[in-house]
Amino acid sequence: MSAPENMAPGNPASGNHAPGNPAPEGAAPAGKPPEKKPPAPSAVGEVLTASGISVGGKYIGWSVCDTVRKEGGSGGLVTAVLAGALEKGLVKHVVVLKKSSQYEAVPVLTSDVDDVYASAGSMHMLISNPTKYLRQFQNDAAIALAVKPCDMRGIREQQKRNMIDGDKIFTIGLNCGGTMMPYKIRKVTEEVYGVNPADVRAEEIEKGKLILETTDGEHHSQSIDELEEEDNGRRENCRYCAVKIAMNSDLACGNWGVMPDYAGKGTFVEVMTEKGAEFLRNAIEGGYAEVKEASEAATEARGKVNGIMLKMSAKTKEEIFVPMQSKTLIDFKKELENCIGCGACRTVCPPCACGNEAKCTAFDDPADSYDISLFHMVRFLHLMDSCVGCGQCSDVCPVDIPLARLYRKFANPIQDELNYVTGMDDRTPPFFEIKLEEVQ
Amino acid sequence: MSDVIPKSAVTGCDSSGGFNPKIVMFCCNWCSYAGADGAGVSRFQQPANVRVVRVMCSSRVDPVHIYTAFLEGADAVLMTGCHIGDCHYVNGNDKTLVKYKFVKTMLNEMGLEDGRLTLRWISASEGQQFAEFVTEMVEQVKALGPSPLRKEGVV
Amino acid sequence: MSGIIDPNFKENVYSAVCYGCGFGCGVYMRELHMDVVSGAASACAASTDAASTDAASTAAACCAPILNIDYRKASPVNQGKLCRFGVHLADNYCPAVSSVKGKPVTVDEAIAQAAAALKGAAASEIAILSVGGTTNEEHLALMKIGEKLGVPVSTGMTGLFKDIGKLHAYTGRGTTYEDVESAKKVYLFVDPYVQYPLLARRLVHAKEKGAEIVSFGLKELPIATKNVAVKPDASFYDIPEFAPDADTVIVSDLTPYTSSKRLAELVELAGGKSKFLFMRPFMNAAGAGYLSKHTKQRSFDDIVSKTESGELKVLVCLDSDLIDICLNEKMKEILEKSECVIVISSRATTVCDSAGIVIATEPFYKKKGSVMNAEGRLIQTRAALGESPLTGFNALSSLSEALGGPALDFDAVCAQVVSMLGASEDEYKVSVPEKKAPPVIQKVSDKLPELPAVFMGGADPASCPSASKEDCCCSVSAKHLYLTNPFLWNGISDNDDFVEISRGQVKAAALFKGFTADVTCACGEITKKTRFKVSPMLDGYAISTRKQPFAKGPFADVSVKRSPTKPDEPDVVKDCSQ
Repeated sequence: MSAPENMAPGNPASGNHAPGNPAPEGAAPAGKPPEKKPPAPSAVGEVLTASGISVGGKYIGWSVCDTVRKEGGSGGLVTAVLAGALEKGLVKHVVVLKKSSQYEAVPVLTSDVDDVYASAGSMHMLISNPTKYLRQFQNDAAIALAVKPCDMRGIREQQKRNMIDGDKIFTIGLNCGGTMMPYKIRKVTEEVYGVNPADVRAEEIEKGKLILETTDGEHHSQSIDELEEEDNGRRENCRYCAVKIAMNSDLACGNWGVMPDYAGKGTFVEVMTEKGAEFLRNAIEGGYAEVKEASEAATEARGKVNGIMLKMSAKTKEEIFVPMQSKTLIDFKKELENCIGCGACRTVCPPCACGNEAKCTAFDDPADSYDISLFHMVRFLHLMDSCVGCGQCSDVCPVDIPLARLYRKFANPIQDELNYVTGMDDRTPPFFEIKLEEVQ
Repeated sequence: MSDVIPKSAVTGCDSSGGFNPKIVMFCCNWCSYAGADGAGVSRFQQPANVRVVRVMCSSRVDPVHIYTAFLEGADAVLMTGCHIGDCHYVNGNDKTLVKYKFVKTMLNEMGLEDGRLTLRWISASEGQQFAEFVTEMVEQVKALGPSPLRKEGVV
Repeated sequence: MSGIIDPNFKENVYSAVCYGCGFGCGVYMRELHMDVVSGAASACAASTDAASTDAASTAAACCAPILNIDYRKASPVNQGKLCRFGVHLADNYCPAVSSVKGKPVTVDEAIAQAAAALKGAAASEIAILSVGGTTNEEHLALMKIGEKLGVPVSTGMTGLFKDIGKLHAYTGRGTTYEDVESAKKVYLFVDPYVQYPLLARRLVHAKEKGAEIVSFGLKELPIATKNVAVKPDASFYDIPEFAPDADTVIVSDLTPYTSSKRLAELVELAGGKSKFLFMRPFMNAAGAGYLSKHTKQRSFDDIVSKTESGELKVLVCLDSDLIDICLNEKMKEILEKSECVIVISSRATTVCDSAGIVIATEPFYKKKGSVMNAEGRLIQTRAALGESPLTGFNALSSLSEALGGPALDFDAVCAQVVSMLGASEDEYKVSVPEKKAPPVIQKVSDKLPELPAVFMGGADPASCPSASKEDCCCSVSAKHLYLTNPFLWNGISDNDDFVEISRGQVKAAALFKGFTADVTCACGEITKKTRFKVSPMLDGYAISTRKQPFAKGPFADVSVKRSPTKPDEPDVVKDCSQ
C-alpha cells in the first residue's frame, strides 16, 4: 500500500477499504515485519501486551497468523480482531462479504471463522450500506462488522432512534476515500484497461491509481482522476464526502499513516471506545494480533492524508453545490419528473428509521397529480438533519434521479449552520430538539 | 358557509377577475384561535382569503400539513400560536420554532418565496394584531402572485 | 425484533431475475432462516418494516424464511436498480402448494395425477401453455414432454407471428438497452414509467446525450421530447410524425394484446432500416418464444375458445396464469368448468385456485437455469449462497418418465438451451445467431384483422343493452384501456386503485378533487366510488393499471359520472346546468 509521503495531492482514493473485507489485498510477504528501523518508523517500542491498550491510543498492528497476513494486506489486523472476537465469544456473528467475482459480493451473517478469513481482500466496488441489513438482527446476539465511515454514520443514526442496540454491535471502521460503481468499473475494465473482467483477480488503489491484478499476475493501472473525468471513478457522493476516517466506530483502522517499514504489513489503528479497547485486547491476549505504539510521525502522516482528502472533498463540494439560479422550484420539478414512486430510495436509506407506515408514504397518494410528490417533500425535510451522504438512494434509483445531491442540497446549509455532523456522535438530531437555542 | 359550492369554485373564475389568494392558517386553540375570535367579536376588518384550521397547539402542525396545504393549492400558509412561555403545553411552541426553522429553510432552498410561510405569535387578547397580520399577509401574497406549487387546474 | 438468532441460523442468497416483466432485472433474494424463539408476534410486527421487506407479514408466515431483496449492482441489465414491483418482490411472493382438486397433496401425487390425466386424453384434446414464466430449461423440458405427447407448447404469442409470416426476423433480438441509450431517435410505443420502468432510465440517458424521444400514445410522457397523441385503433400509416430512419430505435412491446395489424405496420414503415426493441411482459417470454419458434403452436384465442367449448380436455400451464393474462373474469369460469387444468407453478397465483391439479415447484428465485430478456441476453440464475433444489425441473422430469418418456438430465438440457438459442452464456454479452439476409418486407397489414374477439371483453357490446343516456351533462363516455404492467400481469394489487382521465373529462364530468366517480360499463354494470387521477392524456379515454370490475376485458366502453358521496353534498348538477 501507499506510503503517505509518496502520495501526491491528486491521489484521492488511496487506502480505502470496503466493509467485510477487512484488509486490502496486497503483495504482503509472509513472515514477521522487519526488525530494523527505517528513517521514519511507523511504530515505536516493543510489542504491547493487552494491558497496554487504552482508549485514544494509536497503534500499528498486524495479524500473528502468516496466512491471514498473506491473504489480507496491510497486516490483516482487522481480520485478526474479527476472528478473535468470534472465536473468543465476544460476538456471536460477524458480517462478511461473500464474493462471487471481483465486481460482485453480498453481505452475509456468519458464525464460522473460516468465512471471516475467506473474506479478506479489498473491494471498492461493494457499495451497499449494511445499516438496514443489520437492523433485522438489531436486538439479537452481538454482531461484529467492518464498516466504512458512512456505514457507521447510518448505524449511529439508527441507534439514536432506538432501532439498533449499540451495545450489541461492534464495529471496526475503515478509512475510506470512496467507492465505485461495479458496472462502471466493469465497463472501464474492458474499454479503458483492455482487460477481460473475468480475468480480474484482485483490485487495489495505490497512489491515486486503480490497479487491477489479472489471473496471470499482471498489474494494470489507471489514474482515478482520469477515470473520474469520465464519471467512471468514485461515486459522486464519495467525491464530496467529509468523513474519511471512521472516528465514530469502535476501532478506526486503515493504512494511512503506515510508513514504508510497515507498508502492506501493518495497519494503523486508533482505539475510539472502551469496547474497541476490549476487542483489541482480546485479539492480543488470544494470540491473534500484535500491536506496537504508533510513532508521532505515523500519526502525523495519517492526519496529513486525511487533510488532503478532506480538502479535495471540500473542493468538489463547492463545484457540485453551486447556488441555484432563480426558479429553483422548476429545477426540482424537472429533477423529479421521472420518479416512478418505487420507494427504493427510502428502503435503502440508512438513517430512515420509520417502518412501513411512515409520514412520507402514508400521506402520499399516487392518485394526486401534484407537481412534486409529498413523498419527496417529506423526505427532503427528514433528511435535512439525518442525511449521512452515503448515496445509496442515487445508486438504487431506477430512473437515475441524483437523489443524494438533492438531499444534500437541503442538508448542507442546515448541517453547516448547526455545526451538526450526522452520525458521528450521540448528539440528538436537531429536528428532535425541544428548544431552538439548543439546536444552534 | 353556503350549502352550494359557489360557481367560482367550479369554474375557477373570480368575480373581479383579479388574483384572490387562498391562504391556510393554523391557529392554536388557546391563543391564536381565541385571538381570531376576538378579531371577529371586535369587528376588525380583514380580508376573507384565510381559511383557519384550529389545532390544539401550534406544535401539532406537522410539516406534512404545511406541504399538503401548498400542494393542494394554497398560496401561503400561516402558523400562529401562543407567545413563547405562554404555551398551554409547557413547551409546544418551542418545538414549533424548531419545526418552523426546518420547514422554512427547506422551502426556501426549494425556491418557494420567503413570504409564503410565516409564523407569528398571537395571544388571545390580540384580536387587532390578528386582523392586521391577516391583512398584511394577504397584501404580501397578492404581490407574490399564485404559488408555483399550485397545480394547473386547481382553483 | 425481540427474538434471538438460533444456533442453526442460516442465510441463503440467490442471484435471481425479477419475474415482473421481460426486462431481465437482476436481483438478489435473501432467505433468512431465523428461529424466533420469543416474541413471535412482535417479531412479525417488526418484520413488516420496509427495511426488511419480507414475506413474514402474516402471522402464519412466522416459521417461513424471512425473505428480502438485495440490489444486484453488478447486473448488466439494471445495475441493481429495481422498479416498484421489484422493490416489493419479496413481499408479494407467495409459494404455491401442490394440490389435487383443491386438496393439498405431495408433489409426487400431483405428478401421478397429472400423468394419468394426460394419458387419458388424445393429443388433440391437450393444450400446453408456457408464456415464459420460468427458466429456459423448464420450458425446454416441457417441450420434450409435449413432443412425447404430440402436443406443441404454446407461448401465447403465436397469433402475432402466424399472420405476419417472416416478419419475426425483425423482432429486435440483439438490440440492447445500450443501443437505446446511444440512439439518436427513439420512438416509444410503450409507457416506460408504468410498463417497463427500468427502460425509463435508459431513455433518460439517451435524452441527456441529445436523443429525440418521440412518444406515440394516449398519455403525455415527461421523458419524451415530443408527444404524439395516437389512438389505439389509428393506423401508423396515418401518422406523419412516424418517420423512422436508420438512427431510430423503435421501442414497442409484444404482449398477447399487441395487435398484429399494428405490429405489421410498424415493421413495414420501418422498412428494415430502424432497430427494434420489443419489450416482453413475462420474465422469459423471449427465451420461451425463441425456443418454441419452430413448433406449430396453438394461439391464445384458440386455447381459450376451445377450452370454453370443451374441445380441449386437458390444459397444462407452466408458470402461466391464464386468468391474469386474459384480464378477463370469464376466464376463471371457463377454467373452473374445464375438465382438467394442470398448473405447474412456483407461485400461488390466481389460476392455482381454479386448477384441478397444482404441481408446486421451488420459488422462482431458487431456480437454477437461464432466462432470456427482451434484449436477447441470456442471464444465468444461480445460488450465491445456498443450494438450488431444482424441484421444478425434476418434477417435469418425473412427469416425462410417468408418461413413458426418458428422465431428463439437467446439464444436457442446459447445453441444448444454449445451442438452440444460439446465445452467449456470458450475461455481459448479447450475441445473436448469424443473421440471414432479411426477407423482403411485404405489405400485409391491410389484410390483417384487429385483435381476436376473445380479448375484447366479457360480453359483446352490441348484444348489451346500451347504457342509459344520462339526463345530466355531468357524465362523460370514454374508452377504457388497461395499461399493462408487472402488477397487472401477475395479479398483484398495488396502490393504484384509480382511473386516469384527462383534465377536460374531469371538468366535463364536474369531478372534484377528493371526490370519487361512478363508472358504468356499456353492459350496464356500475362500479361506484372509483378514485380518479387527472393525467395529461387524450380526451375520450380512461386508463387503469389494475383490474377494474367495470372493465371485463382490455377494451371496454364506459361512462364516468361523479358519484354522490354525502347526504349534505353540495348540488353541482344545478350548477352545471346553468
